Amino acid sequence: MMVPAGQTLSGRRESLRPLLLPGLAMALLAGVLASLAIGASSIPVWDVVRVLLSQIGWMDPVETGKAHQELVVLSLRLPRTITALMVGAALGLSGAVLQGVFRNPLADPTLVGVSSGAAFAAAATIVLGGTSGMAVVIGFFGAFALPICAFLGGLATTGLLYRFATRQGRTSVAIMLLAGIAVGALASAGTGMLIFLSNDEQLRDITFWMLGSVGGATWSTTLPLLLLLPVFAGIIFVARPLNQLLLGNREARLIGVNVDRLVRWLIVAVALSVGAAVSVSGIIGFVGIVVPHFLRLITGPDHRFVLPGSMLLGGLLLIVADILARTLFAPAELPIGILTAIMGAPFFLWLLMKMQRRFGD
Amino acid sequence: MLKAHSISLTLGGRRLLADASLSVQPGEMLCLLGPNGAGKSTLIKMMTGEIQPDEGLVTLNETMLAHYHPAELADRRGVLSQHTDLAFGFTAAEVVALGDRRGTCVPEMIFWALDQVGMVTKARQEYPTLSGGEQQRVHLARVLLQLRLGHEAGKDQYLILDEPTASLDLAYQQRVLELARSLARDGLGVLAVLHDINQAMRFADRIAILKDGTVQAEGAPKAVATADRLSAVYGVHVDLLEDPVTGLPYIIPREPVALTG
Repeated sequence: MMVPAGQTLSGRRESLRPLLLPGLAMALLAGVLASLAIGASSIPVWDVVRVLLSQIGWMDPVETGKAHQELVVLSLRLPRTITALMVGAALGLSGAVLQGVFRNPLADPTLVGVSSGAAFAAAATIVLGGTSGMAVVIGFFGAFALPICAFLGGLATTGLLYRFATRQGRTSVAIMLLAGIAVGALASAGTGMLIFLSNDEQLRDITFWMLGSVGGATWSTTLPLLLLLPVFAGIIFVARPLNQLLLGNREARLIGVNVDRLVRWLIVAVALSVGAAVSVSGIIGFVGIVVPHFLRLITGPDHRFVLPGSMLLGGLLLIVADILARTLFAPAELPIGILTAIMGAPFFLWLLMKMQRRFGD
Repeated sequence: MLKAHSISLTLGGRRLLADASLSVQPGEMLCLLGPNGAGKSTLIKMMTGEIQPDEGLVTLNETMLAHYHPAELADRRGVLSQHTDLAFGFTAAEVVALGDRRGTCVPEMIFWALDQVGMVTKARQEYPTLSGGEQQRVHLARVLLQLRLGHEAGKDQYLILDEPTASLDLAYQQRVLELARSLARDGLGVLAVLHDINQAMRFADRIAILKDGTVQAEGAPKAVATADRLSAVYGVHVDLLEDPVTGLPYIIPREPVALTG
């Protein structure tokens, strides 16, 4: 059949799609340069570009008078910026994935227990660090004890939930969602107990960690994060079956999707991404929920756009939040989680109001 | 041929299917009738390959359904469920495109599918804003697209409809059943669960009546739908008239059969 006259499949949101990813990529690049340029000593963007390009041999090395700038950009701001980018990308992408897997637009990474498990493990590392059992762990991992324990704590919690919700190879997302609430409450109670047991210094450490920050980023914490890139690619690769999964597990099976394998992969991928992100930055809320919702509003729910878009926009959002976090009250640094909540929560309320007007209730 | 060979299933101590046999040929429309709790939905789920019988087997051209790859099965049979939840704001056209497993379909095909169910003018409307009947038609279009894209010369295909008319108005009930009828004429094997016996009489090549997990009767509508049998199966007295236009029997349900014992 021919397409009838005056009929087209594409509307406003389809016409925005081709612009979305290139536009976000450009904005992200601008955000990265801004993040490298802005700080206690501000560095002209052109110098930032020169420092970067000279590193890969595309430009001559910077003159000796600017060695200080080079040091600031390469050793301090670049790892921090990459960390913010990767953490934001991981949170945005994971939020979009979980909302799809759970078919619930309110799902966010905290629901699969990664964050709460990681927080509990982090608090345990901080508070019990001096005791004999933990001292062995800390002695073994050295400075990485906290992120590694947080990462393992997050993975273990998700693994537990996943096993709990899986019977005969089938994972019930409803059970996982409900069990996630219970396990999350349990982990919070455990964290609360550790806070109760902690001394003032430990309390400050825990609080700081729970509010989130990328200020501790160094190259040795940043480079492992880059291992997430193939995980991100693997998530975006299954965007089409994830679209089909929105019809429900049963319908998706009927149209040929290997639902169990798909869900298993996505949960593992999210646990890895969020676990890694949380382990270096602490708990940063609202990115995983605001970013995918914003994108759905612009392009519709098609994951082929929402997933890569959430990755880019999540990274951009966290870079901007980090710039604000370290400049608003300089030289003091605001925890980044406070900023994402301040920016995210009102925006989310506005989104909800807009959706309510659109769909009735 | 899609065939259930004496299948049985017991779940939670309840015997849902007992030695039920049913087969659908390419090119025919078979309507499955039966009272609530007769096992229609269970039998349908067996025929789609979603659940496995305790005893007996379901085959598609002599090969057990369980031996097909899910994706291959998706090319051979489409299933329209009674109810599909979709909370995300896809447009009608995007929902139809979800039936495309390979990602190869062109807009013309989506229009074709939407046109089959009379939804072309709403192609761009968001799914949650459609009425229940419109949503059901969009899903039918999605299944039609799935089958069309899965079509391969020499391989028969089946369309399984679980109460396809439940949420439709009178005109679209007729339209959807006529569509199923014409698809069967074109070579598709159609298996439809219907509640309206008169619709089944009019559109089916064959009727199967299920009760207590067993196929009680199967055959041409006129031969199967006798007053005595329908009374026994549904527990209501029925009168059989003749449709003045088609000459087919027309069933009017009367008062329930008195329960004894």
